[in-house]
Amino acid sequence: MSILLKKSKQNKLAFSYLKDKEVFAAIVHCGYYSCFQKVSHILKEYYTEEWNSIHLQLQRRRKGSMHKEYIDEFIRQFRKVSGGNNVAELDSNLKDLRSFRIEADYHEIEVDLDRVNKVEKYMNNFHLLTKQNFQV
Amino acid sequence: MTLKEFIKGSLNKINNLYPEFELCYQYKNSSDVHFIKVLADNLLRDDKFSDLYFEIIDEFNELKFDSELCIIDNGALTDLDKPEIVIEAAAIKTGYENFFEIQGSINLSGVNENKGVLNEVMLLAKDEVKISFSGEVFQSPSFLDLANDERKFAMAA
Repeated sequence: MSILLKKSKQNKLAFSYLKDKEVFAAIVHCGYYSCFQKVSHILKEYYTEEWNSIHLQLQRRRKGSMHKEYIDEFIRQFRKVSGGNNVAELDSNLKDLRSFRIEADYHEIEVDLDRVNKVEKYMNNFHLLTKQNFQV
Repeated sequence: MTLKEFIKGSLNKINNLYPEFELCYQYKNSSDVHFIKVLADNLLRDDKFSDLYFEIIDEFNELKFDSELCIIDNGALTDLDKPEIVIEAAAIKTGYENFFEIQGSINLSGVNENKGVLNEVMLLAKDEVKISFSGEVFQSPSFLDLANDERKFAMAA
């Protein structure tokens, strides 16, 4: 198993553990990275050329992250393999989660149980769709 | 095309297809994301909406605005606490079971001082009734409450 995939699984486990313990400060972080690390893995494993191209951009830019580019590329590929089913919802969920992760980590935003449940729904939906379409 | 023009154009496209839903726009500086929210439940699972969704997202990416566009519905994590643009609902859909009750309790030429002029009550499908207004529009939640209560509705109309 790739290290990225292992990290993705561990973040998913960490999410469940933190939810059980009602420790919500880092839970959005775990939920998001559980998805993002699998996005990275899928691109690296199945779409190497596109993954290399994003990395080249990152080296040229020399600052900032490439999360937006990874997610956009992933969705482009997902649209092709899934035949369009559930793609709008998945695209929206990943972007919403990415934005909310930043707010949850750095800003005066309360992470309550309602939001934890939404993150969990996004995360589980993402993992289900990747399992159905990429077998990971 | 400027970003502002693009956002307004996109809101109009959604509004043309779904006039019954309120729309909001807000830019979140913290994550560099432009949010468009459609105040509807489970809209992102609607096939009809999905085509429009990607028409807007693809155009946004082609125009290379160097930021993110995220279209959300009522199920989203992100709150748009300070929307910069709001387009209010121009028509409301309600359940089939309310149709005759509503139709029987309203005066089609009636003018609601606060809400605008009622245009029509139309049976769109077996489970869908569309109630549309001109002029100022109803706030969705309060109207739905209103529409589900014959007595209150009759008083308001």
